[in-house]
Amino acid sequence: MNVFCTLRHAFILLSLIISLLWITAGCSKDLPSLAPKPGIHFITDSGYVFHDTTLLIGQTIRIGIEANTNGSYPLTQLSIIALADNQVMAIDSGIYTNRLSYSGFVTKGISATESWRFYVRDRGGNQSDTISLTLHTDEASVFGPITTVPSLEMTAQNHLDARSFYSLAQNSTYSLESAYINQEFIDLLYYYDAIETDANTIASPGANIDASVFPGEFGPANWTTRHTVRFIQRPLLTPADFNACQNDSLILANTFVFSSGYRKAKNLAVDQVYAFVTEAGLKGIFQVTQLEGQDEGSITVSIKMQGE
Amino acid sequence: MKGFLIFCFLIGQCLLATAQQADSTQSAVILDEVVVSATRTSHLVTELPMQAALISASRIHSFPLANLDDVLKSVANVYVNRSWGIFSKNAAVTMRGLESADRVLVLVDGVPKNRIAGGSVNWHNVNPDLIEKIEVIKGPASSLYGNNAMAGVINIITRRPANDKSASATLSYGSYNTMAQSTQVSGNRIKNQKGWYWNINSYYRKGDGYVFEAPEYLDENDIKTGLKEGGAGIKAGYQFDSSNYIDFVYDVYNEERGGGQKIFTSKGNFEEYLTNNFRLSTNNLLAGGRFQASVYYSAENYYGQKESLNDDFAYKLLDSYADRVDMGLFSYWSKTLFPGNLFTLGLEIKSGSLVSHELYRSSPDEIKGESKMDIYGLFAQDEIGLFDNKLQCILGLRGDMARFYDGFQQIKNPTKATGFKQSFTENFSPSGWTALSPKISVQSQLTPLLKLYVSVGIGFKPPKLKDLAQSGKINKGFRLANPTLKPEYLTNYEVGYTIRPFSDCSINGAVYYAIGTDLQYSLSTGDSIDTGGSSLKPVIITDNIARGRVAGSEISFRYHPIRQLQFNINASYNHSVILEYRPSDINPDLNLNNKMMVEVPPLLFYAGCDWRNRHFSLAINASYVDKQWYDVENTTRVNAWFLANARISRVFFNKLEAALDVQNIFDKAYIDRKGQLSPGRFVVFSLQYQFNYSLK
Repeated sequence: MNVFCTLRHAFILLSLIISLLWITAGCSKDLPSLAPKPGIHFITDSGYVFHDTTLLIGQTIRIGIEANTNGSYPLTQLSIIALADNQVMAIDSGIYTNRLSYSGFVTKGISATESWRFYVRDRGGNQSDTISLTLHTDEASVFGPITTVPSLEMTAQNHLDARSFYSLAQNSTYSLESAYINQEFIDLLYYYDAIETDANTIASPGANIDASVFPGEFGPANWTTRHTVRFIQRPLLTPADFNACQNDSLILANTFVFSSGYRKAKNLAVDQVYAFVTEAGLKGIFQVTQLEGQDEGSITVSIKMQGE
Repeated sequence: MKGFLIFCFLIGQCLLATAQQADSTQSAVILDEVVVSATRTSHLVTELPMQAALISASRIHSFPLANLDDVLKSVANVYVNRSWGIFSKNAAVTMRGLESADRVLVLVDGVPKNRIAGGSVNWHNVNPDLIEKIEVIKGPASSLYGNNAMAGVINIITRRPANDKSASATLSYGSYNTMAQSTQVSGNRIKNQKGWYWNINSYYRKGDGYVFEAPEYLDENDIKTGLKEGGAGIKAGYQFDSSNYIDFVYDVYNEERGGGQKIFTSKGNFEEYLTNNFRLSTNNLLAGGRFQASVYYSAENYYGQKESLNDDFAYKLLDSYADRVDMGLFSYWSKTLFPGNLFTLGLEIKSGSLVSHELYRSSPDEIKGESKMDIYGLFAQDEIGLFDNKLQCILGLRGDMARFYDGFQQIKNPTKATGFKQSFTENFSPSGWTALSPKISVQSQLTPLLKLYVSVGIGFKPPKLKDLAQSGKINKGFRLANPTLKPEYLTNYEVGYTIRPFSDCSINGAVYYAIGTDLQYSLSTGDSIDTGGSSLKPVIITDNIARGRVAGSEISFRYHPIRQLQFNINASYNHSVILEYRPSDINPDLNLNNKMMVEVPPLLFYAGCDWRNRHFSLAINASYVDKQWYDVENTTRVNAWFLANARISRVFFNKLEAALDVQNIFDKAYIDRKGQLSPGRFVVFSLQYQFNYSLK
């Protein structure tokens, strides 16, 4: 006795202490606590608008913000709130960074004034100040012209003559291989997804598309230029509204901030109308006019977009 | 082939062991052991007019298990669903063809582990080293236990320190860099039946885990699950004489389990639980009868971090907090009023509360909820033996009354992440319900070898606080609170038998027919929500939607030809179907009539053998789990699986035991209902050192 006995006791005691220490340590949850609020300000570089201004309807400006954490928590939320004609539109983007630099294009809508507000929050729930600017409508405004694509057929990925890709600028459809060669022109693509909630889908090369849809070396996953178009369904717009659209007023009334749109227009059905915005700021709407088959089928849409 | 060789090796070891001269100072298994859970009075397991099983401490010690609930796979008609092995945050233990672990009441020394708030029974915070036995009672037992004792009861009974002074330490290392240790010190100062006893224990386990995503779906966000868990506890008591004692138990448990996905945060998705349990019990002779009473308090603090990136590259980060508290009192008094009779009268009061807070960090959404429920139960039971106990009758009746109150939920700044249209605060009206749970069982000893019983009983499951009052994100989608939810009931008709062809062998079985009313089911409202992930998730609400029917049978065979060897084979079959589905206003298009109940494998089969002597033990078992439906509309089925496990151990110097556990010997990969892979073969080597000590 006794060395062994002493060692036994020491071992037991040590084990108990280690376990208790770990449990005690585990009790202290990583709960957020109050910390200095994050900082936020407009980017004031050339080309950016950072104070109240007057714009023509449809005129596009660039707004940028920079934000940084002042505490130990990363920024997790960027909120953009647009107020126009007593309507509030909030866009909340999930982020995870200590320093945020964001820039986006804003197109003046049809309301008399628009107020744009920005703030960020960090992981601990600390919210920055809200910065804002107001856009007034220039009384000299007129609505702009539009381009109409009355009937565009795109075929799904397994169609015998699969032409699933489309260029807005070229007004032309492409096969997978030719789209790969012309990837800088491609804005839209169409495929059928076996997932029930996706089904008939129009997306853009910048969307996260499963590699099994367009497999091989020409698949969008391997492109070096992948343009992104974003979409939002407008269920209140009817085919009659769509057909009556003669200038960009309807487009501007239904457009959205690029970052708030979805990269995919999923589960498409005939007569649905979607608004879209390209990453270059081009705005438009499309209506689904015909759907046939599944991954060997096709979709036909009609497009109206800004410009001549 | 490699797996087959391992299996052959283990079989060889078993045969070699049986050839050895056995030193049988320890009995591994005795068929006639005493259980108390079935009637709250002591009975031999083979004498009960119901299907019951007892798992002894020695059986647990020699069983190939990574978690305590693994040993329940050896009991007929018990389905243990733990698809990630030790990395699962919980195990769903169900019985008798009824899905949902809430339909089985789990007790530790009589204290419920099912929380009134809901949430899974946490099997991790029970230290297997402290268990004296596990009693499993099948069929409704609400006449004694009230809520949740619908499909059955599992009572885990911890041991009171019997040795003067003893201690043990265990170290283990296994697959996925899993290491664990546990220690305990216990002793007593009992002289002339009077004195103190105590036990102090702790355990700790950590492991790296594995990637559960199937290779074809793997992406850069999939990481290994992982775990860290530990607990410590103390049990101390004072014995006044052989019949009267009082004891106190406190334990604390902390765990952190990974969710297998990481986007930006350092840990990725994970969940953390901190649990504190207190119990004070007394056991006395009172007015010529036996009186037992316990008060308990159990608090569970939960934190979960969930992050996701959907196919639109939208990032979501959610912090979830929940505090679940249960406290209560149960007491009962048993007395023989006249020869052949044993009367039991009892009172039970339970109170549960839930405070939850979901805080979206990537959007301004915030959901808060609070609610409470009290349950008061009064029960009486009479056990009557007639004709020299050749005819036994048990009559039981329990009344429960519950009150749901102080319920509210608050939704702040909702966006598409939660799907609510606007901020609001909703106060739920207080409500209540009552339940009457009778039971009658009659057993006859028809011949010295055959006993037959018939039994009719009602069990019930109350609504959980989280279903009543907590909206929020869950794995399947987004859950909406339903404050109108009511209890569900099960009426069970059963005929069973026990055959003892000879003293070392028993065969028992039962056929039963059960009708469930007002069954609670989680259903899609028909709406979807973008909660993150790759696709829209359904909005789900739990509602009383239908009647249901379970028709089934089970059979168990146990044989121990010599004291050291036991064979245990059992099988069960259940046909569980939904009848008279009531379409709800929420989703009128859904029709579940004649659909099979989800997560119920119709056929379960188990076969195992144990060899144990003073120096050596070997246990081998195999189990089969049938195909089961995953969704309520019966469109997707989870494949069947077959697993074989083994444990071999050897004692050196009478104090040191080395053991090798192999779960899933043949490395059968199977996919669970979420499409995630099981961990495959899991091997653990452990060393346990047991000794007596002196404080001098």
